[in-house]
Amino acid sequence: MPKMPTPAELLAATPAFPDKGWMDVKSEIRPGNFCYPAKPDTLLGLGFKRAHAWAPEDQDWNLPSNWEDIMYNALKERLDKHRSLKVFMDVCVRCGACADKCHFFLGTNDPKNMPVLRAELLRSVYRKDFTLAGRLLGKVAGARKLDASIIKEWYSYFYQCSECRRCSLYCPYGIDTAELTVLVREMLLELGLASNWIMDPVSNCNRTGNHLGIQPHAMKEIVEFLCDDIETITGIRIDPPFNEKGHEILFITPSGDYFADPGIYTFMGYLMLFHELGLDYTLSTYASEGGNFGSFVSFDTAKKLNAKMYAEAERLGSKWILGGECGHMWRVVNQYMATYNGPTPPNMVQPVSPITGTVFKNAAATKMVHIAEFTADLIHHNKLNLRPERNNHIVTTWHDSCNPARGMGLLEEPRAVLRAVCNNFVEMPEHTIREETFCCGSGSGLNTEEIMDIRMRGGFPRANALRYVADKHNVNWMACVCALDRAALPPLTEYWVPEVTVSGLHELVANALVMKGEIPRTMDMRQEDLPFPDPEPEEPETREPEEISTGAAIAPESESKPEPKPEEDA
Amino acid sequence: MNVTEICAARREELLGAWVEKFISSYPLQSAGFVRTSTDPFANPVGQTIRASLGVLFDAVIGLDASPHEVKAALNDLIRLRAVQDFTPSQAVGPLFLLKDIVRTLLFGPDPAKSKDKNEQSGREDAARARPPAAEILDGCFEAEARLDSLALLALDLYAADRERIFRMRVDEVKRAQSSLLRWAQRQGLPPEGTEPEKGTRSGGSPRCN
Repeated sequence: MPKMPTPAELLAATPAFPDKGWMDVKSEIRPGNFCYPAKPDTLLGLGFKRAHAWAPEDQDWNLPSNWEDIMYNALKERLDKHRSLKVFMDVCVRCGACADKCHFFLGTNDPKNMPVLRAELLRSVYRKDFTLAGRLLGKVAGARKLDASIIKEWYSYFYQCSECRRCSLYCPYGIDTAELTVLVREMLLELGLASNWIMDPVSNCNRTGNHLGIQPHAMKEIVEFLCDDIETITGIRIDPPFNEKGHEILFITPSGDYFADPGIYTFMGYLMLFHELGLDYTLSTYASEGGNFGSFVSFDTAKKLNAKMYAEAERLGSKWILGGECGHMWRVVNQYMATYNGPTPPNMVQPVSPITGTVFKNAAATKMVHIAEFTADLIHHNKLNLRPERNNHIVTTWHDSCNPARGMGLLEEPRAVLRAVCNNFVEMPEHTIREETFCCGSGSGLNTEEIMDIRMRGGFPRANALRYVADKHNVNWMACVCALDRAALPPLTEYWVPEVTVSGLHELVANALVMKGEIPRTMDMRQEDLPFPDPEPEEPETREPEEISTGAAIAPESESKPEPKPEEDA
Repeated sequence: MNVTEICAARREELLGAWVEKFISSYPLQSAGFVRTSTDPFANPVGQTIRASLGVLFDAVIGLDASPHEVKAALNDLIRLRAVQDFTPSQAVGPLFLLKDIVRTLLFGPDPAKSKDKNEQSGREDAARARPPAAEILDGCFEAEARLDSLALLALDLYAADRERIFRMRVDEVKRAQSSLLRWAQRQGLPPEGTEPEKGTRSGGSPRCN
């Protein structure tokens, strides 16, 4: 009888020292490890002429016969165009400061998920083709010749980066792996290789205006359903304007807020807030997606989708744009828009809150205000009647979404809002929040169900910090300002911390908001019974919050920005 | 000294060896970091493994352990391993490798005997003396049986975790278009995706947010 292997032999632990270098370890392409490819029709409609049918698990990806020339020219063109790329290619000293900062590395322990090595996947090819040392010395100088297996490696590893930029925060040179990821994805697009989950929404946003491609009439009806729900909860009927010219403000939010659970509750919160304020605004079906799906894969598509929002503001004659709770929209607006599209249309002016008179100087160039800034300003000036004890059953923490936190420094405003509407707020541990926040693991177009395992690994560091406050402080809620987070975090918490519910910020605002003429609230925005319902109308309003709120709702200071102290957990 | 005491006295060493068996399933280039960083938030994988195995180790060698805590620790460990791209046996298997580690200790050379007699008083010798081989064997079997029970439980947890992932994938698609499904139902239309998509193999994914 042949010898049966022992458990130790069966498990075949990794050898003490790898028998080959990283360049020789080919990436494995198998179901669960890759995003489904984009449909050729979708890509052709967007002008990507090398779109073709292919399947990642096939040996042959049907690349164009001159694909090596295409890639060489694509890299050369980008090196000429983006000085940053040239710097990123040359300047890295491989100090490794970024290595253990990537949530994908922390969750997978795969060395190719270290940002330094992820960049090296491109850098090695760059060395071979564009540096003398690489041409002469080859492997010794860290250079390698591009081959088809490297294309597969790129499709695997540059779609395991969520462009969250945590690594660049720690890089002494500020190398931005997110930009490298976008550029490599852009180069892959030149070969017709892209992910369906990204390109379908890009196409829909481009053509129809929202990521699912819902036609205007259906979209309006869907919003009417949400208004039905608001009426059920508050007794107040709201009829939001669509595509109307001449309003002061154009409101644009990610279309996930129109269509996806739990974003819809946040959307209902926006509508209730605007109604209560009597805001002069309109929604638009043509620019109904703020989240810039194009920014995941290509600067050109990002530019086009960004321009669309401003073209609509010009068409409708809006003075400024109020933006909903979104992530990537804000990175594009704050970091790329000026060079993409230049000055805003002439009809747009620097935003001023019509309620408080606050001038949003930070939006002088973009003419666009984040709703967390807008609401924090309202609360700071005591313009909202809030009853935070409606949220007393909630012990919430705050997830800093990567793009608003790292891309625009939106740290204090949402916290000020959260403290005003929720009496129980606990911070997650230091180094996992604010600028150092851990990504949800599904940003930049990775939020697709076929790679759920990868997303769970990538989101583990976030979930691990959440687990800590859930165990220690009974946290049962996590709020955030990003539509991708609202889509990605529910499965993440369901897997790692099932007792925690995920919501947007304005869902909690809507719970707490006391509207003129509303019925006593017995339900929250999800139409679940409130454990602390409103008193009957005959009773005078005597209830006080049982726990101390640091909320800005009662602070009548005259400073222009609220600066609440963070309740950080040691 | 019984088997529990012998193992408890060498807890750190044995536990360290067991942790090592798990960590060596990760690529060498990154395993060093997983071993050395002790910050639970900067090194969540390493610290989750270490913390969970600490609880499981005490349970296996026969120290008092609350069933609730043991199950929670095993749950944390398996939930992590279940999504780390391992085969089921690779994910759960290193649990069994504690057997070899404990056997080597119990049936290897007795450190008390090999030491220079002059350094030890006779009284300490008596206290540290190993019980008869039969007693050690019994203690070892008991510990291994406890480990087997944990491994069976791990099998359940692993399967439950995988099922949860599959369910989440379906739920996500529904959640991503909840408004749309509601709209379609009011229109009397079948929900999107009930008809198989025609065309090429590519682009077969359901649209989701």
